[in-house]
This record gives sequence, structure tokens and C-alpha cells, in this order.
Amino acid sequence: MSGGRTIRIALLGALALSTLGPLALLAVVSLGDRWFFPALWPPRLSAESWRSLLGGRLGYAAATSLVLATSTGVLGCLIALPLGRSLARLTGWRRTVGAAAAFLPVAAPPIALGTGLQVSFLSLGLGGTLVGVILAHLVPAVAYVSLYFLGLFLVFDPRIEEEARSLGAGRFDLWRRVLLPLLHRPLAEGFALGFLVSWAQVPLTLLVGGGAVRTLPLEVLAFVRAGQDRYAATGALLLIVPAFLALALGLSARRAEPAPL
Amino acid sequence: MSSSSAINSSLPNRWILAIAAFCMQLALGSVYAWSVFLKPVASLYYHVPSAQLAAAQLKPTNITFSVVLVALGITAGFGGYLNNRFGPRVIATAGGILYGLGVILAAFAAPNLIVLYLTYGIIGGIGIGLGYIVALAWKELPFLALLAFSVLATRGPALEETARSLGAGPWAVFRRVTWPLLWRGLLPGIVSVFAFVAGSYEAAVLLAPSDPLPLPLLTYERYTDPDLGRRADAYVLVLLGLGLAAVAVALHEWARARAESFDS
Repeated sequence: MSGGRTIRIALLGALALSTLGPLALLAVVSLGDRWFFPALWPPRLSAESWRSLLGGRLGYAAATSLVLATSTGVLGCLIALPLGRSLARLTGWRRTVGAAAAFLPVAAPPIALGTGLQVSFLSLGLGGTLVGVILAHLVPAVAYVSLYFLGLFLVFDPRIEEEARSLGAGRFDLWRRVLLPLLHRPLAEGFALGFLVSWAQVPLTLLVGGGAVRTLPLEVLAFVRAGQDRYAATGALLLIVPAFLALALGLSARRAEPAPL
Repeated sequence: MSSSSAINSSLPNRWILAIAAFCMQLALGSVYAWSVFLKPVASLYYHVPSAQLAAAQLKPTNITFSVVLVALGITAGFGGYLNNRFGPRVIATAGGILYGLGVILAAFAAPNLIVLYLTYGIIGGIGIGLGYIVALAWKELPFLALLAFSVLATRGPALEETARSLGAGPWAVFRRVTWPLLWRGLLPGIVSVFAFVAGSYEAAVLLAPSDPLPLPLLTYERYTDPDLGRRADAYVLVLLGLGLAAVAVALHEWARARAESFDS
């Protein structure tokens, strides 16, 4: 048994190394000045790329991404919650078709969605605007989040709603006093999902934003292509932060209380 | 509790399996070290120091790498079937022996290039192909393991318990209960992984080869081409991508309905 334990620890160590090793390397790259092959360590360290977060290209892109992702997360949840609930109430082939319709924007290559959206958004005057990009991000985000809520409402006990209604709760009270308190955590998770879908989105921003809306992933790609490794590494590290935060908060919330549904 | 320990006892230690797959993948990666071997190997054939080799002289030797990859690809295509038929232990061992044999025999290949193609190229390539099937299974492990866990946690124990109480041995329980539950539960996840990877833009733009371009990159290139005549190509590619997605969705829903009907 102790042999198994040693193997387990060694394996977990290897897993931690393979996860954290690249991140540590990114951190060094983000600080390394004039670091070329075959030097094993950067000859000089510089925090220039990190300073550019305060007012530079990276900082501006990070702020744009934050606005986009927060708006997409909130709006996505607002649209997807009733959508997922309605889908869960369907039965038989109707639910299959509904779930398939929700799944299509998830499965479709974003570049294919983007080409279609760009044409219609340009004719509406939304091309190259922040609003246009939010609307474009909402397409996959709503799909992801409504599939999440569909799964949730499939196991949600409908008797809770029936009970509240039989006790005299109207539609408004049902939502305010029964469903929303119960859905507190799923809503936070749905928001995180929508946020992350938008935060990492490249092709839709590229096509609908038309180069006028510069988000963090776009800048990271641009820095990689320009060989500006330091800035690319800083941006890449920043891109990982929300995913880590969501994971850590989700885990701590799960540990603190059992799932309500 | 008793059911999960019974499942575990019918399988080898999972940690050892994962370590073995990890080591195998490390070893198989040596196929991409071909560029390191290329010049020393070519200098054996042309009797010239490797620094003085001309590009034209490198070409015939470099065909070996293409042969390896073709053999790898074809073998991996059949590898899944062979893996199911004979089990990963036999396939991984055969892969290791064949790859080793290919490398060792290649040492005796000079001065005949055809022998190099046959030894390192075909024999070694088949070995790597067999090994990759097992290693790829490990690579996609985290996501699919998470799904497998939820499938088995919600449906497995009770059915397995019933099968055991009706007299099924550990192998019969795995083959008749656990495995059918598992693959039906996993199929939707596998379809999702396929659709996601096929449509992914940012990973492709950073890592994929520039020739041939993956579908999302080619679509973007044609769509943004200054020659408007080439935009039509982009729309054809978009339709192709959407068609693939629609097939993936249909497959996903079919697999999910099948898993649910199996469940009830």
C-alpha cells in the first residue's frame, strides 16, 4: 500500500510540474530581457511588460476584455436561464431538437459563425463596435450557458415550484423568493462560463471587431507573431487568471456547502 | 464502497497504467528527433561530413521521415481496432518491440536507402503507430476521465451490484455492465472534443503547420483575401464547417438519447 502511496505522490508531483512548469516558464519569459537561445537564464530581468498593463497596449486590451466578458457573462445568464428552463420542460423529440439547436453554436467553428455575423452586423452598423462584439460573443456564450442550465433543470425537482405556487406565490415571488435563492450558485457558475467563453474568444472578435476592438487574446497573438515574447507571456499569464479564479472559487464554494440541487 | 473496490480489483493499478503511458509517450516523441539524426545519417550515405551536405543530398534521406509518418498514420488507424481486440498490454508491447527493432535494424541499413525506409520507416513507424493509440488515450484522459467518473458514479454501482449478485465474475461485470455504460456515456463527450478541436482557431494559428492549413485558418485566409473572387471559397469552407458541426450535433444527440434510454 505504501508503494502505491509513493507512486501516487510521485504522479501528483509530475502532474503539478506539468501544469505549473509552463506557467513558471511564462513568468520567467515575461520578465526576461534579451533572452536568446542557448542562454539557460535571461541575462537581465525587466518588468517593462508588466508596467505596460498600466496604460499600455496590454492594459487597454485587458480592460476591453474585462468589459466584454463581464457583459457577456451577465447578459448570457439572463438569456440562458429561462432558455435552459424551457428546454428542460420540453419532452420527447421537442427536447432533442431544442438541445440540438442549443448545441449547434457550441459545435460550429467560431470562424463559421463569425463570417455570417460579420455580414449582418456590418449592414446594421455594428461592425467594429464593442456592442457588436458583445452580441457576437453572446451567440456561443448563450449556447454554452443554456446547455448548462438545461442539465441543471433536468434534475431540478418541479415540485418545489408547484409547492410555492400552491401556497399562493405569483410568478414574481416564485422567482424572487424560491428560484433565485436556490439558483444562487448555478447563476454564479453560469456567469463564470459565459465570462470565460467571451474572455478567450478570438475568431469572433477578429471578424466582428474588425481590428478596432483589441482584446487580450488578440494582443497575445499579435505579440507572439511579432516575436515580442515578453509581452506575449505577460498577456498569456493574465489570460489564465480568470479561469484559475473561477476554479478556485468554485472549489471553495463546493467545499463550504453541498450542492443545493 | 464494496462495489468500487470490486471494480478496482478487476483492473490493474491505474496509477501504474498512467505512469507507463506517460513513459511511452516520452519514448514515442523521439520520432520527432529525426531532424537531429538527419544530417549524421545522410553523411553515412554520401560519405561527406554532415556540415558539407547539400540540400539535395538531404532530400532522399529525409523521405524516411515521411515513410515513418505514413506507416504511423495507417497503423494508428487500425490500432484502435487492434487495441480493442488484443488489449493495450499486447499492443503497447508490440509497438515497443517493433519501434526498437526498426531503430536497431536501421543501424545496418547503409548504404541502401530502401533498407532505411523499410526498417526505420515502415517497421519503426508501425511500432510508433501502435504505441500512439495507447498514448493518445492517455492524452485525452483528464476530460474524459471526469465524464467517466460522473457516468459511473451515477449509474454504475447499483447495476454492477445486481450483475454480481446474479453470479457475474469481475470480467463479465466489466464487459457486460461497466463498459456498455461507459462508452454510451462517453460518446457525447468524445463528439464534443472532436467538434471543439476541429473548429479551434487560436490553438491552430499558434501551433498548426502552415501547409496544409487547418479548416478554420484556411476559412479566415480566404475570407480576408483582397481578391474578392476567393471569398466564395470561404463560404464553401464555412458551409463545410457548419455541415461537420451539424453532423457532430446529430451524432451527439443520438449518442445522448441512446445513453439515456440505456439508463432508464
